[in-house]
Amino acid sequence: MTTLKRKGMWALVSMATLALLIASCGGDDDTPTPRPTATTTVAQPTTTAPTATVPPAPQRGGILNLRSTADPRNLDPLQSLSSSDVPFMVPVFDTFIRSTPDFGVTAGLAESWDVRDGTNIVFVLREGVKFHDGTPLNAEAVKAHFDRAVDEQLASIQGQFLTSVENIEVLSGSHLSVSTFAPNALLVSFMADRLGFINSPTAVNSATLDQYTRNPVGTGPFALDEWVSDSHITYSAFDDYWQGGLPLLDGIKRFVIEDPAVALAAFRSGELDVYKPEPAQVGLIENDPDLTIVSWSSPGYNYFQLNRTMEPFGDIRVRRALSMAVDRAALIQLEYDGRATILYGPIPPIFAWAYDPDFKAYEYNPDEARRLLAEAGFPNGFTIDPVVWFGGTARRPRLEALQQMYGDIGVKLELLQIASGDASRGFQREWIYPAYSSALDPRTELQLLMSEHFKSTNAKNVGKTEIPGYDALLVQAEGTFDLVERGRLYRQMQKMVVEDMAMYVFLHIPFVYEAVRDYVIDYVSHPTEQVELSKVRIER
Amino acid sequence: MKRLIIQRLIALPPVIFVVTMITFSLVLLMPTDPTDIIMGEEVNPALLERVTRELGLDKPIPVQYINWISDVFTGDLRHSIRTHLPVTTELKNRIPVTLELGILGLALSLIVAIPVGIISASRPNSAIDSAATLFAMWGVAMPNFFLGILLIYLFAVILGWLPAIAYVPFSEDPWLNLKGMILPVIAFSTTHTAVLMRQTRSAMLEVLRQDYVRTAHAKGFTERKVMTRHALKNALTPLITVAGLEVGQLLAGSVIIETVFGLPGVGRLAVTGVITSDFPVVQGVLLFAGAWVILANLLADITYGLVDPRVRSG
Repeated sequence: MTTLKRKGMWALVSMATLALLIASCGGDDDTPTPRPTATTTVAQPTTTAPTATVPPAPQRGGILNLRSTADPRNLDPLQSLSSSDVPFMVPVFDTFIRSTPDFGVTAGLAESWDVRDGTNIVFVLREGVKFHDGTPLNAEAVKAHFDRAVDEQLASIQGQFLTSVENIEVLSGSHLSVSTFAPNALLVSFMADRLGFINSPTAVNSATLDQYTRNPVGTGPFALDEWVSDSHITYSAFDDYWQGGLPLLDGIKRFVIEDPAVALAAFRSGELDVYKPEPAQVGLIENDPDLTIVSWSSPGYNYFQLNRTMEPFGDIRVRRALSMAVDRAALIQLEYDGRATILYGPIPPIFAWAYDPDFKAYEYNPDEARRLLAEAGFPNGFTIDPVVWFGGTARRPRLEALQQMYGDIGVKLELLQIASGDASRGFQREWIYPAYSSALDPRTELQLLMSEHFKSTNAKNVGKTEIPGYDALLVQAEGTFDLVERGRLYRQMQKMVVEDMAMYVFLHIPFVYEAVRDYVIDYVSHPTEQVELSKVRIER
Repeated sequence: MKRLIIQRLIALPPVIFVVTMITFSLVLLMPTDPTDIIMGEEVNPALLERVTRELGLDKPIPVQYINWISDVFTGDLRHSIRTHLPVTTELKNRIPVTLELGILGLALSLIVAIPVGIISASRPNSAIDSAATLFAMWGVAMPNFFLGILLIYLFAVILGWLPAIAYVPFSEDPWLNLKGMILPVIAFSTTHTAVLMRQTRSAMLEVLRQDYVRTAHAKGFTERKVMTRHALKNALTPLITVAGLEVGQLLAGSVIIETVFGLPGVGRLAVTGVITSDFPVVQGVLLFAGAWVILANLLADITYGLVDPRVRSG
């Protein structure tokens, strides 16, 4: 895909998003800014006072029908191990800090916060908020939630985000002070994901772990009603929701439909109101006048990873040659019908404040790749046996295309499809396979993307490769509150990952699409599905 | 007849015991360590240890088997790793869905296959026979998941008569439940109908060549009486064998149909169980499937006895 085309796509994306935002923001003052708010900014409290021009307050009514590909595994935000559980939690929970669609942060259950000095943050909680079981939300309840996140017995993966926290102190019913060992600019945005989905302490204490995972209790606009495994989950409006007059829906029904063809049929027949089409399905519905398609670039990406501990990958010339041998534009055409962005480094374009659209490295150049291989002593190439991969048949075209592209420079790939657990264990922990084709899970915080794989001590860093100076930069980024400055640090790290480490062949990053029926009002898509459902309404 | 049933019942426990052995060892053959799947890419050593201990995976395999089998005999199939519900609850919730699909599907198959098979046999090479043959070939050749998607596209998207999302609990709305079942049942029954139709036709052709049929005709019985009284009754035995096998196959078919139509039945439970390495569920479903096939065969045997006096007298 050419730059021009990509820019065209971007323009389309932003226009679609903008159109939806304009259409949907009827007087609210929390329209996301084009750039995310820096974490140091104290967010404005959200007021929902309607302006004079707004017609009479909408009546509550209707059920919003959504779709997921699989059942959630766990609805307790602190026990959950997968980001795919998040959409199922969103109706039930308000987040402590709300994540905006561009991954900025704004007021959630914490109405405002004040970074006293780099190491102390005082949060002011919203008053009059109740959990679905009637327990009031106060500083004690929030503290109990964070304490549970670091509880060794529970071993929550959310605990990792609080390792920098030295002390959490209840100042009053509505004031909570959090102190960190060192300045931490990321803490607030960590609280805008599962870690910040505050559980009712009463409900947590009166249920077993297994019971609670199926019956979570939050302060959100909807309470969980019924969970029929492998079929659907229903939610109904919470009458005591703290924002008067909200939610505007009677309920939400989230269907589990595995097959995309069936899901598309259900969307076209009107059984689903919102649907995320596969890139290849977009063409089938984009001319439908009764819906709006929004799209954004995924916060995760696809890559091909080399194991440096195995020969001949110890030689950086070989690794660079393998990066240059891939025609990424052709891959995007083949796999996503052109609906993806070329990726040259580890910063996805959705993190606009850090992404550098002009950054290019190892562009497609098979002649140079062959020259580098010959220089490294492999004029006739070599065989990589095996290249492990997992996932359904949908991934196969990519691997076969790579096989062909590498064949052009004399490198033969033997493919081996294995289970995902085996792949990640065998490749990332035991280092027994030479190469791995995989995808990185979407992350809402760039620091996580930059730490995973590249930090010398990270569990997924094959060979525990240390890039000189890299880990120090990570620490520096963590303590940098200024987003522009932090973006610069990440770009510096990106350069190191690409030039000095060169263990990854970065491939591409697909667009994610969401089609919303026009009778669904104020549905503002969010990359991690943290849609503000309380304000969504249906007007037929 | 009683003796026949008792004989069959006595043979059951050893078979079930073998089934439990196989069920348990198959899970050990799964290529992935269940804890890997549970952890996903986020590895947390403390959690890994807790989960391994909770699942009893830190014990030697024979001990694991003995623990498991003693739980099974007390009716405890453990908890699903994925849904956190007892496997027995999962099965109890899902068996009705699969049974409904299976019973309706098989009933539709029989209602269509037997009359059409008889007509085909009584008028071989006629237009109706050729049409039935064509249907049977198509029915066997057509993968039912693809047929399912085509049906959804036609009836839900183009015509808008039936829902694409099939499942509504019967207790919630019986009418919507049945309406949602129409497409899955059609998709499910096509292959069975095709097989049973061909079976009926060939069994009937075989019987119609027999002397006693000619005798019946000679006696001046009506065509109808000859067909039902003399021919069909005798053609039933092979048909029951095939129908019995088809009942055993129900679960296999339900795996695909339930996945396509999003029905929360036993088949779907099996698929997601395997994909997510939810081994207590896989073991539970396999046990259930084993019991199901054994029961289907038992029923087929008993039905033989009912229609065929030679079997009854033993």
